[in-house]
Amino acid sequence: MRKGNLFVGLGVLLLLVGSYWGLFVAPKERFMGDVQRIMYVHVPTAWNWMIAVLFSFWCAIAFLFRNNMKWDSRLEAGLEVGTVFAFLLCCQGAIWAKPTWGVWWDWDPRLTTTAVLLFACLGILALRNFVDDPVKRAIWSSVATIIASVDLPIVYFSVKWWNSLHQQQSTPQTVSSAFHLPLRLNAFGVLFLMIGFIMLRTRIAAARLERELAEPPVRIGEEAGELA
Amino acid sequence: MNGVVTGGWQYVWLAYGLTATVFVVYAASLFVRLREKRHD
Repeated sequence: MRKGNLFVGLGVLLLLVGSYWGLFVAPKERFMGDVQRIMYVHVPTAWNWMIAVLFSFWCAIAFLFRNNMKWDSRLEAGLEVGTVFAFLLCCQGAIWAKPTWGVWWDWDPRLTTTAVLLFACLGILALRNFVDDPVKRAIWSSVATIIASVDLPIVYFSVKWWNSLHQQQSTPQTVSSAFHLPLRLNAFGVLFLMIGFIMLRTRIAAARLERELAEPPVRIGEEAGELA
Repeated sequence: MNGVVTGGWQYVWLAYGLTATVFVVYAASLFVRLREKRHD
């Protein structure tokens, strides 16, 4: 069994146990009641989304310094998985916001900076689709990823820097000990799932790159001849 | 109004259902693309 599949399988297993615990075993929160159970999927998604963005940032730096295309394939994988997680994070947040804040969305600093990073990653993925030259694509998307990653510490510290509607970071230090087990199980579940997804997606990107680099360049004369 | 949220299970199921759907659909898209890559 390939490592990517193994991580996905392990992630699913942990998520099933953690979610069962969070839904049916853990007590409800004093003020938010049962709605707080959304935390067991929302917070692990947020943590692992940040890890995916950090991974992409690291791949971008590694590509620019080492000039090895394997880092570009990893960058593409990290960006795509990060974008999926960011989209999911915003949707989960909106679902949690409605019963607790009374609105689906608010232009609060945490939400706004997260949305900015989601759209930046979408833009970089779109850029990758428009550029045919693999080397130019790798350089441009690495630079764009480094610029976009500047937003990540702003997302993280936004709840501390500004008087935000969003609550402070949920960590084992800030939530009741009764909530630790499902939160940790799901955090590791989503982490393993993210690692598996990135490994599988890297294989797809590497195969495309291999095909592109293997294709013989089309000479202008031949192209004109075909057209004629 | 006492500041305590009551009920809300529909939001909990919606969040968990959406999470499961996104993960399943994305995993399926990865496996399909990997299979296509093998056939290329």
